[in-house]
Amino acid sequence: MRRSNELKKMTVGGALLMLAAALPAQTPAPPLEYQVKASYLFNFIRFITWPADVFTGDGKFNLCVVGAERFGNALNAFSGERTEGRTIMVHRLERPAQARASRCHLLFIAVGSGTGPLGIERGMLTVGETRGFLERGGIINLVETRGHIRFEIDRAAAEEAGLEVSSRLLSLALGRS
Amino acid sequence: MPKDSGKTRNKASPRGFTRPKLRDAGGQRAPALLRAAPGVPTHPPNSPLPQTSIPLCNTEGRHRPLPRFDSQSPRLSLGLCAGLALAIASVSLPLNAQLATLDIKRLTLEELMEIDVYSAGRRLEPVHEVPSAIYVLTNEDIRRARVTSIPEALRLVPGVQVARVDANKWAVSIRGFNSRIANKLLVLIDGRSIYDPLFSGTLWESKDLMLEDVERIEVIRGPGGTLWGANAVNGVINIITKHARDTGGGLISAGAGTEERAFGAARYGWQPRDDQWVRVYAKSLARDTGFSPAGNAHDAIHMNRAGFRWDWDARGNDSLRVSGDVYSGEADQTNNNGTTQDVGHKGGNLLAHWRRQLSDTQNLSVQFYYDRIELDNLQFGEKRNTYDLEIQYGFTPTPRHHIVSGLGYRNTGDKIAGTAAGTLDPMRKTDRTESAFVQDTITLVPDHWRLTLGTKVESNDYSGVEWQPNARLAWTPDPQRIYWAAASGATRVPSRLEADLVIGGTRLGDDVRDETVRAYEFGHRRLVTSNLWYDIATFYNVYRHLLTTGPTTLSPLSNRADARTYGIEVASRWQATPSWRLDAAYTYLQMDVRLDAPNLTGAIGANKKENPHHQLTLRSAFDMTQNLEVDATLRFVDDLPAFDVPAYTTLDLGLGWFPRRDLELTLVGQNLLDGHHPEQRLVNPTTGVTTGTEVQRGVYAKVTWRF
Repeated sequence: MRRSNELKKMTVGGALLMLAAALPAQTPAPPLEYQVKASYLFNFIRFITWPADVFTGDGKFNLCVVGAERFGNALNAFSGERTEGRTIMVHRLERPAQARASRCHLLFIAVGSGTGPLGIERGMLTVGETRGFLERGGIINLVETRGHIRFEIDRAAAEEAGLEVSSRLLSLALGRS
Repeated sequence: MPKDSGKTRNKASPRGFTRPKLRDAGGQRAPALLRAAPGVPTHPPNSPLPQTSIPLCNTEGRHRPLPRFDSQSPRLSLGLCAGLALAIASVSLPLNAQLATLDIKRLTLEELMEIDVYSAGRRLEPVHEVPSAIYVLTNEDIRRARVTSIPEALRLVPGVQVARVDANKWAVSIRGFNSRIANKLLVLIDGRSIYDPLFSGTLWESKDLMLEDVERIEVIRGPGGTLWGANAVNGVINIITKHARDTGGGLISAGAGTEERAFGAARYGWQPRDDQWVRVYAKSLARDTGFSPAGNAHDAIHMNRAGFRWDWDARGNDSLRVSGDVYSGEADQTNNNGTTQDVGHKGGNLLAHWRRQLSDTQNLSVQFYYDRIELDNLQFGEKRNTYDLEIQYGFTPTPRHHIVSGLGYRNTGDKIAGTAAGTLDPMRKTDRTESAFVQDTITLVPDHWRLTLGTKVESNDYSGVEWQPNARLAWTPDPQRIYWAAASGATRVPSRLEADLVIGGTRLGDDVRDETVRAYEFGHRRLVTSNLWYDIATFYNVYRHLLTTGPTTLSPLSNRADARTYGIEVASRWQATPSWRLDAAYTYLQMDVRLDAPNLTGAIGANKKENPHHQLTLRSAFDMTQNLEVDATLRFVDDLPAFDVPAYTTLDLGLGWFPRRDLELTLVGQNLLDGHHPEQRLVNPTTGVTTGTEVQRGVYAKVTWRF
């Protein structure tokens, strides 16, 4: 009686193990932090107005990311998503310098992707997640305080890039000039 | 090319507020918060489910109204087989797996800012999933409605009756039994109860705060007995103020008008240390008298108030909030013997609330407050000190059970001054109430069926031990819909006035006992598209032992009435265009009160002719341009035959202009359709004197400067 119970357990366990082996390797879910940051990017696209002349008429919004591995598959949710009349195309770049060639409308520079100064390109929203990103020339920086992800905006830089930031975004941004 | 750091920057955007674009205004929390649109995967089906949370209620502790919705937690898997089984299940039920993950396309900025990327133990609680008749007014809703007081804001909520008695008094109730001293409603501000135990009702004239500081008002219709205790018989109104972090910087507002004579407020918030935020405020208002056909209205009010809130969020696990207010003012009235008086209101409170996340699955909170009232009313003067302590413990023993439990102790001591005509005996008394509650939210079928069972047991000085049970069942067939049903029981304990009333030397309250209600509710909520949702709630309430008076004013008070009430409440919101939002709220109420004997009178609103059958509120909020807002509220309320108050329709119009980002100019016309109309009266049965005035058409202008 006991033996058949053990046999049963082993059979079930073995079957489950085989089934588990058959499952595709699980990609770990992106950490919550990057899901939140991806969602922020989506909100920035919605609440900022780009100058019309930086769009080529193919209806695409180019979202470029340097250091995309951190997001895992969080960005997949936006790939192909339509918003504000355009389709979001996600581009994974190696270096910020590649942004111009890709006609990026939004360039996200992950931590560890360089610390050099950034120029202001017309129609390109630069978003970072490192201390001092705005001083480098970035426009929006995602900062974490007490476990919450917030953002700060350099309004002058945004204006220089021809971007119109909605008052809603400005009101929620961390106080900065 | 590097940026020129020497360039002048624009002025810092004012912290805490700038006008949000209409389409972003929160309203009911994005109902699709957790939901993937059908057919659109947000994550691969076999990704482990992250645990995330967005606290819906700033006041942790017992006064979280929402049952917790547990989702599968692979971290609690008990063994290899269980873990694999879960993985297999998540593969074979991809839609279920997606349902519990974060729908990052639907989160609003405010929600993103609130997500705690550290703690994983809290629960996501969008309004959409709550198995109760709940309605949330956000700060934006209140601002666009251009109201100047809490009772006026409550007019927008289905199921709530708000009738203005005079320029400084309101009768507010939920699901019937409305009266100036309506006693079947519990109102809380940040977890502090503001009903007066003297008569179990709320004196709205002295319960005031800066509406700019209100984060949201949650209205839950139906007995709230389990979590809040006796007196929440027909519903609970939970007013939640903003965290001090969200009110940084300064705000000064001032306005004047024909009815809202003059009002002003100032508030300043700052961050003394990295993890602490403080705000202080002061406000003052004066209102004009209402309209009286005899021309003798005496109901002006002036009221001053000041207070503070201090928040401390230690890294990760602890949070502490301390707040306090003091107020002082006068509200005039015509007494029911025809004379007039200026009633003095004074008081203050101090509250501390501490919450700790003990582990991923356990949290503890402790709240203590002291509240003082001094009511200088010649008919019933009151001095009262209340001390209240509550401890709440929430934990998730298994993935399918989330339990909230608590203990409470309340001590309220008063000194009442009456007159020869009417007084209380004893004139000084201290009432103590001890209570305990427990509530379990059980996930029967993950993402589909949830059962909530709970009960509260309370021991008080009037009626001994009371049990108030509550059972709720929720079915979410798909992410866009929920059906729920509930059965609950609640009790209203006799107030001090009822139990100890002495008129002409005779004690009238010796036979008074509790009122009870059994409530059966059913509701349905549906997100039709991402721009349109609706919410329907129905109820059938059975009341027993309702308070009755009569046959004469010297007869002892009795509880010899039963009632059956039923009704439907419908709410809907339609974001017609990104700049234009429409809200509708319809209430239908039927009351059937049966008196044991024809010469008795149902007391305190227990009369179907004192409550309207139909109410309809339509709101429109339109962003005409980037800086110009146009708002309108149209309301219809059915007649109140008992008071000879006819049905009325009224219209409010508001114009908001932002000449600069930090300056808001508002021009509002209220009650525009009639020169004046009555909403509620108080008729003294013996003298026949009618008090109460009519609401007049009025205009006010307001300037708000945020810096």
